[in-house]
Amino acid sequence: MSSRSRAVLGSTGVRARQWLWALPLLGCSGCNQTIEIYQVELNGAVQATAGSPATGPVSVELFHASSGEGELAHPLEFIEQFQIETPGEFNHTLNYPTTGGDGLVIYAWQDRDGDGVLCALGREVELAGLVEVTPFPVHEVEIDLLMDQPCAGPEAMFPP
Amino acid sequence: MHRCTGRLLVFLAGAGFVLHPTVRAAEGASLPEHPAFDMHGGGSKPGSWAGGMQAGFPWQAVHLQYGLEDGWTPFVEVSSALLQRNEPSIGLALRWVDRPRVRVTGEVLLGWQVQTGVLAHSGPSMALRVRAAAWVGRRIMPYTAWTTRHTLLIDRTALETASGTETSLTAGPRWDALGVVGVAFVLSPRVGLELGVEYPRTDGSTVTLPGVHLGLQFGGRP
Repeated sequence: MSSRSRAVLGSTGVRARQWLWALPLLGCSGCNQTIEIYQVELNGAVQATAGSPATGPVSVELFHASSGEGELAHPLEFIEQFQIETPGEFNHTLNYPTTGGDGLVIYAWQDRDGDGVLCALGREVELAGLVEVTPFPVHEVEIDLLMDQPCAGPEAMFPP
Repeated sequence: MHRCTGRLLVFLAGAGFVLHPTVRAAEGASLPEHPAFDMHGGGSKPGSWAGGMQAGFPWQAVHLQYGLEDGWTPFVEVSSALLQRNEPSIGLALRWVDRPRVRVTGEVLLGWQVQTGVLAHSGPSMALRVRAAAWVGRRIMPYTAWTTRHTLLIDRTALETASGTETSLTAGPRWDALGVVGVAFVLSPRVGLELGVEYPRTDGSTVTLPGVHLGLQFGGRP
């Protein structure tokens, strides 16, 4: 690069450095959105009705109780899902997205045959249960969830 | 339909102007320094400048550059898709191949991508572009340009816990690519007209419909 080119680019660089102090002021002026998360500690137990096998993973799914507005309002907006190895006590940290909807519904079903599908055709009957957390929002939630409905999806149990 | 017809008429008028006798006098000009060659081949000779405007669907753009020595050319550029995705940038071009009839140039651009509408977002972006152009005869110059643009989309996360609220910034990448193939015509020693077709790739996985544009290039020495 010649001395003339260096001089032009160099003076431009000096001018650019003079404005570096403004970068911290920009902060998050260019942010696209603010994601608001409400952290919830879930503690409790998931139990199946008496007589059902004690083993088999339990799939726990968390939903907003309601979401959307006007004609787009609907119940059960999915948030996240996790598994516990067998029915029993569990604890889980939920990062609840406050902009996704209102309320909290916890649904669980036991995968007795391990096929990952609730009541697949020709397979065993599997139990499910659901509970709505009230009051909400709170940071600490204690729940007892009983799985006593055979082959029921969350939409079959909520709204009650 | 009316829009397409209008563009076709403009193109035909431009092509007719190319064949006009007054334009033939321009053939004596030094073609390698023609603004259309500088714009589409990339870079300008030291001390000369070139500018360009293009209008089409969906892309519009304005570009202005000034040639330094040793093949370096700084430029400013604003491109827009339907005035909904706007990309102002500053850039620096370096001529890699600089022959009388062939030019290949690499460019780096720094700027900002601002998209409005239902999928609004904005963030700083960096783009790399390769341009190539060659004269066919003395009035026609096919060209191509390929751009890869990487934009940083920044979000703020507010995490409310039992002990208080913590905020943090997270950034996600977005990748857009744009290929352009076109042909430019000499209108006068300082003015060129071009027709180009764009092949965009939006947000990485989305292949969008091709675009088409008409452009004018102009320039000279200050």
